[in-house]
Amino acid sequence: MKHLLIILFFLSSFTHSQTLKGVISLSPKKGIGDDTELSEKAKKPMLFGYTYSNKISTQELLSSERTSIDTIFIEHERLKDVKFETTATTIRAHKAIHYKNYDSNIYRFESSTKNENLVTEDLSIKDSIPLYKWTLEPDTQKIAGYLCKKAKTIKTIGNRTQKITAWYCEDIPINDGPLDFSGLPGLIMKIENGKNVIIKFERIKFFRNETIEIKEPKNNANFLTMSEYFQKLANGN
Amino acid sequence: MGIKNLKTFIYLIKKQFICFFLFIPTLLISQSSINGLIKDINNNGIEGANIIIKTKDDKTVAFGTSNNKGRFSIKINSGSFLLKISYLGCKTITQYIEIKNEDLNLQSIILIESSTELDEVILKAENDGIIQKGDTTLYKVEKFLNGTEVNLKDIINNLPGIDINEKGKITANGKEIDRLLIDGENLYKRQHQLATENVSSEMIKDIELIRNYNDFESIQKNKKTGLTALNVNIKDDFKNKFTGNLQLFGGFNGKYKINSPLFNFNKHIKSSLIINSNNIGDSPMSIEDYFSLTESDIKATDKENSKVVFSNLNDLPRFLSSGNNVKSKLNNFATLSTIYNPTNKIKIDFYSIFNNSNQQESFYRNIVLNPSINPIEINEINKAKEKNYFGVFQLKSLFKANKNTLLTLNTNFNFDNTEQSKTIENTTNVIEETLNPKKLQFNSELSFKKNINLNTLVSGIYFKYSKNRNQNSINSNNPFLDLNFNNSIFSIDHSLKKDSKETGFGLNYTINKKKIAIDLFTNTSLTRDKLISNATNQPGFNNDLNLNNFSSSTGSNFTLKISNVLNYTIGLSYNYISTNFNETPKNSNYLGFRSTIKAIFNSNNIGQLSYNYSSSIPTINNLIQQYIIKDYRNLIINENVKPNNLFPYHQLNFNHFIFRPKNKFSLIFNASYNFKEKSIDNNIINSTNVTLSKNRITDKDQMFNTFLFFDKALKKAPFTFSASISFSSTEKNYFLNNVKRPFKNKNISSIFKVRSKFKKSLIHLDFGYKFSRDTYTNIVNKSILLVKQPYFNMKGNITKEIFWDINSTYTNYKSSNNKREIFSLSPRLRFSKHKSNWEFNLIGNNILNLSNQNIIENNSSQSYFEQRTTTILDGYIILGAKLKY
Repeated sequence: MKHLLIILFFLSSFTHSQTLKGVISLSPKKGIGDDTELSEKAKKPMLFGYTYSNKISTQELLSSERTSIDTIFIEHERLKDVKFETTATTIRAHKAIHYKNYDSNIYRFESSTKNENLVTEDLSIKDSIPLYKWTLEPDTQKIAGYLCKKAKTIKTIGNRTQKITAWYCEDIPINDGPLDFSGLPGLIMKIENGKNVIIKFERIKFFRNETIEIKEPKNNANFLTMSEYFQKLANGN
Repeated sequence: MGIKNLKTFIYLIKKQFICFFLFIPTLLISQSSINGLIKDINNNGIEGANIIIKTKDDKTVAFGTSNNKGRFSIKINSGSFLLKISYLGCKTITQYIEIKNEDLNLQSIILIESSTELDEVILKAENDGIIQKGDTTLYKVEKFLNGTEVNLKDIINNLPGIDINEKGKITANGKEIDRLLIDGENLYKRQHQLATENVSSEMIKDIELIRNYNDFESIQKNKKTGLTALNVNIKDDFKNKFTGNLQLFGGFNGKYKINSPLFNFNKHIKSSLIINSNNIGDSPMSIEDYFSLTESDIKATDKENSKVVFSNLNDLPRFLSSGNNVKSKLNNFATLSTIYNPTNKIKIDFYSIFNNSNQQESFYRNIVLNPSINPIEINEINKAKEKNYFGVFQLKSLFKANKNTLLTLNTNFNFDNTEQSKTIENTTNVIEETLNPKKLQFNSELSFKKNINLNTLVSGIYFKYSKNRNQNSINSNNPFLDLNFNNSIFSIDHSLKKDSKETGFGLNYTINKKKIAIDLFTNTSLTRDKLISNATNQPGFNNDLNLNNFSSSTGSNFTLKISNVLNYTIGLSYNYISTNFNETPKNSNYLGFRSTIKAIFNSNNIGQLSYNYSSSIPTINNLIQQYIIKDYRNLIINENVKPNNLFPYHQLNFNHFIFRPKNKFSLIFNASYNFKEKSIDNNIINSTNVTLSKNRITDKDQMFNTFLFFDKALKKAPFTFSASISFSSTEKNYFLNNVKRPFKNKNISSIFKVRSKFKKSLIHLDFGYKFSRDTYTNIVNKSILLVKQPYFNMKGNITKEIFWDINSTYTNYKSSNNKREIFSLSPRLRFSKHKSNWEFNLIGNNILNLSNQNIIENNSSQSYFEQRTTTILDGYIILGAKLKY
């Protein structure tokens, strides 16, 4: 009886408002580009909060991060009492938001980072949601309890490329993922950027009949497109 | 409840039909791109729905999403595929599609909001500690602890839906689980009690209940295996080292118990060693375990089962059948289990049990032979001593070359040696009997499984060897068995030798098509059985039998997938049997038939109706030509069973299983009816001193069983209720002094249980009522045994370090002319300091009956009524310590 009532109820007021919330971790493993070993501090995972509702998703930095410069003294291997001074700089954004609006096809990235001189630099990117050409592979993996399938793509940053492996879950029919990734038949639960960075969902929670309004973030700098930003990176500034 | 189920059922059927008809027209047109329109129930297009196109082996070939109008278009090569349409919050639609060289227009597809499925199947409700993900239910153990738990058993008893039944087996929603996994490995096989008693509660991280469990051996993808597994995950602190405990207990009258489990959980090796010695009745296995360990059918390919199980010659060691209804019992046992995974392609699984038991039995029995005509009454005092050595060694090696190929070598060896001596006093004789049965069994099977595209090939060869020796000697002060004895020495030595060798080959090929699966199989086996028996100085007891059987079975099963829910299977087999009994060859053949209809609404709602028709053939035990001595007054022989006789039988089964995780409610209903057109029974000829049991073919043998189980956890009050009732009835005809006679046996038993689920309380309760009634009817006479058993158990803690529990049971036995009442009280006190490795226990068991007590049993059978008064094991009080390391 109860089931019939539920069905009747939904016949009259059908809404597909569903919200998914999750926590994403980003764990740097090796230096990007040169595969250098990272310091323990640089390897510390960063945590992001993730929300998807009504065709808009946002991924926002949760953990408190900052740029730090540590001075390390290294003793000379033969000469006693002779020490070399060196510094280890860990540059981390203290604000980062990825925003994707599938309705109006807008991708936004907003970040604030202190550089090695401890001067805050803001970055604002506005572009269409990047399209990736995915190759599906048969491998599977369980992530946060969900069976995920493997897919591969190549990300082009200026004239460099990165091999990206994604693990997506067909049981969660949301065509979204962490950072700027999307376009797989199911939520992308994990992104592996070569051996350098692992980004994955630690947990997800589902809220039925609930819509959360996700606002587009404010920009602190002038908008750049992705290619303009990559160009800026290539130019060294 | 019934109405609600029916409506749900109708709703599900309707839903299936909608999907079914939706795709019928679309199958007729076909092109190389698939177009469709996805809508909700209000006819609005759904944007962003997922469309996935897969091959049948779950490889995604194309995918896309619907646009803002709900339309989609996906290009694809021709072939047959599985189309999956999903949208968050809606019920996923899956459908087989066939693409030829034309476009496929799917018109409009309506997605229905899933009212419950999403919460249950995809995402989770965290607060109650139960997380359901697809077929897996994860129990966060810490949410169910109340602080009094010692071992796995206590934790399982706290989990909703999971229980331990009367036989010590773990059940999930009333059904016995198929696999018990410790950290993912099947370490204890069916000996659940070894795990539940020895894995301590602090080792357990969490527990998962997995439906449609796929083990290492399964290579079929996406197949609903129907297996239920319970996986107990071990905390990391207990991994990569040797861990375990030592328990020493001692008490008055020399009562003692030593138990020492030792575990090692590594990435590649998982092992467990349990050593136990006691005289308080702890045994590593039950009678069912014995059968599953010794007669486990290891054949991977065999589908038809055609041996007559009935025989008077199969002797079980008494230590199993008597249980703890004995005067004294000493058990020493060791079990070692190791599972080694050197790479992800190889698994080596070793399992062994060694058990030594020493027991003394004492019972008085009253037997009425021919209760309906000329009753002969026998009164006996029996005293029996038994020593038994039993060992099982199983080694299974698996090699999975790739996802689609599996090679298995399975080798089992077991021995079972018994030394038994009995003293029987009746009105005329004092008899001394000694028995010395020795059994040895070896079997080995090599099997190969491979997936070829969507099809599966299974083949196997096996070899089985078994050797039985029995020396039986009987001495008496007066003649017995109506034999002629020389020199007034009333003694006889009887020996029985049985050897059996069997080799076989099986091949099974399953073709999976869109709507049907075809299963082709052929099995061939060659059996050589030999039986030799003789008795010293007595003629008429010489058997020298040779039975060679060649049997082959060829056939096929067709499974028709009527819808996503309904499956129908029909099977036909041709069986040919050629027998050669003592150089006389005979042939026979028959057709076997089976039919099954199965409805899987979801993994928590499954119904099945099946019918099976087959035939069985006699074994060498049914074909004895001269008398075999069973004991001082029983002789066995064959009367009219021929080696090429066929015994056709019909089996009808119905079962339905429903589990609703949200309401914490489960219901199981099983019913089965077995009807044998012809079967082997006995023609019994009773006289004052001897009973002859002659194997004779009878025309009526039918059995009906039904079982109903119900389990419900209350939402508002912290209690769970469970109740089960089972009824079985057997009706058959046997022969008494060559005259056909009917015999009926009816059993009804029920259990009602209530258990508290308090989070924080000083007292935890567990109480209930058990009831059983056995009725044996022989023409007009009846023999009855009624057992009523209310019980009340409590446990709790006095301080954070002192725990107590009291189990109390009152049992009332009532037969036609006898009565017994036993009140058993078993208190227990445990002292354990937090983070200390020591634990102290004072254990009392049945403390009101510290000296031997008697119970009444009814062991009636077709030609006689038997009532026993049996001495049971004393109660005890023991004090001991447990050291964890």
